[in-house]
Amino acid sequence: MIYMTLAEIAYLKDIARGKRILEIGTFDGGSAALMLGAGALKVTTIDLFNPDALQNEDSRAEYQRKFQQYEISEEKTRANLIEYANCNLIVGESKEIVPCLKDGEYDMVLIDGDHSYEGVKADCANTLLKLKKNGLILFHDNNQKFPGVMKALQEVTLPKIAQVDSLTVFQKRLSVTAEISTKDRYFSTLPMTISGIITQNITPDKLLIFDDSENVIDLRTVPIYQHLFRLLDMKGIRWEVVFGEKKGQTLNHQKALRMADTDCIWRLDDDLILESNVLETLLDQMNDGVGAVGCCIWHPDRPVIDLPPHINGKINLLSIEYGAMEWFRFQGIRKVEHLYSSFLYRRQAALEAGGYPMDLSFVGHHEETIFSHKIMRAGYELIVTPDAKMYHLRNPEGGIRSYQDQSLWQQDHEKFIRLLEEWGYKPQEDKIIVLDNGLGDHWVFKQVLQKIKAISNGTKIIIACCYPEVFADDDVTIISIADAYNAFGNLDRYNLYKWCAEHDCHESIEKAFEAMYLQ
Amino acid sequence: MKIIISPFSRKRPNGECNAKDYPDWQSLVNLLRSDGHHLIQVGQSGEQQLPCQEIKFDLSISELREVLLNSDTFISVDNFFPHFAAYYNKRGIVIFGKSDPRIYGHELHINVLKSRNCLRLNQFDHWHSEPHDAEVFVKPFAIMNVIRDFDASGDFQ
Repeated sequence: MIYMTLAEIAYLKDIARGKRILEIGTFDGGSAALMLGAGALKVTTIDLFNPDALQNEDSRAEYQRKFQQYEISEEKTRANLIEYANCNLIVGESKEIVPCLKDGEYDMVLIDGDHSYEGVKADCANTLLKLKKNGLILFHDNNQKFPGVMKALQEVTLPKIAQVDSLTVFQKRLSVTAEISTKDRYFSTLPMTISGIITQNITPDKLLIFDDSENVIDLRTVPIYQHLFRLLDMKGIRWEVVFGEKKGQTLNHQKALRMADTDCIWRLDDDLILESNVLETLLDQMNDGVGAVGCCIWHPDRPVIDLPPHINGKINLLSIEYGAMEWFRFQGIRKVEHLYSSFLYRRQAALEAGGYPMDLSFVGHHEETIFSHKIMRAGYELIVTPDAKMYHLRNPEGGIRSYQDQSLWQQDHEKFIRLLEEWGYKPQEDKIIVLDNGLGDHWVFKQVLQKIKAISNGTKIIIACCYPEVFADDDVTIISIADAYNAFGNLDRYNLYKWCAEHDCHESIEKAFEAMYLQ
Repeated sequence: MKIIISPFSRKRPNGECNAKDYPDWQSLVNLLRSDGHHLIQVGQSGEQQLPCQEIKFDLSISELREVLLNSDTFISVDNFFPHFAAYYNKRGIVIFGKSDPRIYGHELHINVLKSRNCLRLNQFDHWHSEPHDAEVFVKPFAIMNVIRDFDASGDFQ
């Protein structure tokens, strides 16, 4: 017999497959048999089979009544489970037996034993140690018939991921709010990012969308979003769309930090495609002492290459041209001094760090670099894991940084450099020059190079070019155009003639080079 | 005078001559020689050889620099050579056609343009798609007048 509703039975069958399960309260073995029949790898089930031994009077009376009513005995239960070789029935008090089991062994715990407040609290505390990270802990009979269960579960601080009738499901992990700051990408990449959140192996508990779009739409009226919001509801992900103040992403991120009530916040760009294990992987690395975790963020418009040795995650070596560690292929966990774009961070660490840099422009250039580094300076580690991947589309249309005034970027960059200096770093930025053009252009540039050198103040100059012999007598680092493409992706922004055309520049190419590289 | 002749730009992908190539080199070279100048053609193997006294193809940068510094001046189309010479501060004559000397020229040089009406509309497009038009260039006698004035002025020194 299974003393559960049909919905509870269906849910249990769905999630039991492939799991190692610890059950408190075997009773007649019905639920253990159900889970084993549904493909559970192993079920360890514990029962006292002695109602008289229960200390709590209410529990004892209820337990005695049930045992008599259903004529439960150890022998009968063993007979019910005899066909399951992968079932281990242990007879005894759960408070005594559970502590003897191996820590971190189980994918799932089903607690349906002593229904007193004290009993549930004790079973919860004891079994949590035995659960793997991200494991599930299920409590049965969370209803008014069992006030002890209800009271105890109100005190559980883990993320609740499902409520199926009286079956309440928590997950042994940190709770997470996913946060997207978006602008004018309703019908391009934003729906992809939201669907990527929905299809995570481990889903966040809440999704906050900050909408800075020029012409704001109530997304609940848009069919694609109606589907997505229904799916969020189905997955138990609370969601909220906040109309932004159109003051840029830094303010939105800071609001998310203020509004989130979860352990962690997962900040996401609005033009990402996510592999399904991203949040799970980030959470796996969010160990004690870790403040933020990033993963690979690859750009489809550039080839992914092995991590070059000079990309080491140091903040004073930050060269936006060379990119962040997250852009490359590498093995093993890396400790870094700053994170790029989208990552998971611990809310408490961010609060201790003083939150986001609110003095940046609406563009918020370098905001994530400064923010993540502040978390590090507050005493937490920053980690990048290569075991999960996001694809950053860098959609040219819309985007939270789609402000026309280019000087905002420069202003933010100058603030960033000043901040680094305040922190005692000596910023070292490489000057990147790409000459994917003719030999004559190289010679014109060679004249400009002398001016760049005069003001470079020790900055390393890297020239990607077609005719390296032109610069053989210059003290610069030369790389090929192919290397530049690998490192920087699309090189259009370095195309002199494109630059001239876009800037309506009809001065000499020497002057154009100066405008490109000296200003 | 010892004059370097740098006559050609890179050929178009279809094998046709570059739109920047001067069509009357043969006549110009003959005229220059008749004035007694010593001509050194530089370029790459495979290019048409003009009746210059010396042909120096496929030189390295240092060799080319040596030739440049040991010559009095140069005459070139709008190819890499005027930029190379400008870097070494060597003054010369550059024959323009469709490309704009205000963009691609150097103030150091004498930039010879038939008319700004001949310039192509979009100066920043690839040159390999631009057809050649002999009518956009000045005639050889115009170049000869420039070089004679130049020679007389001694500005090249």
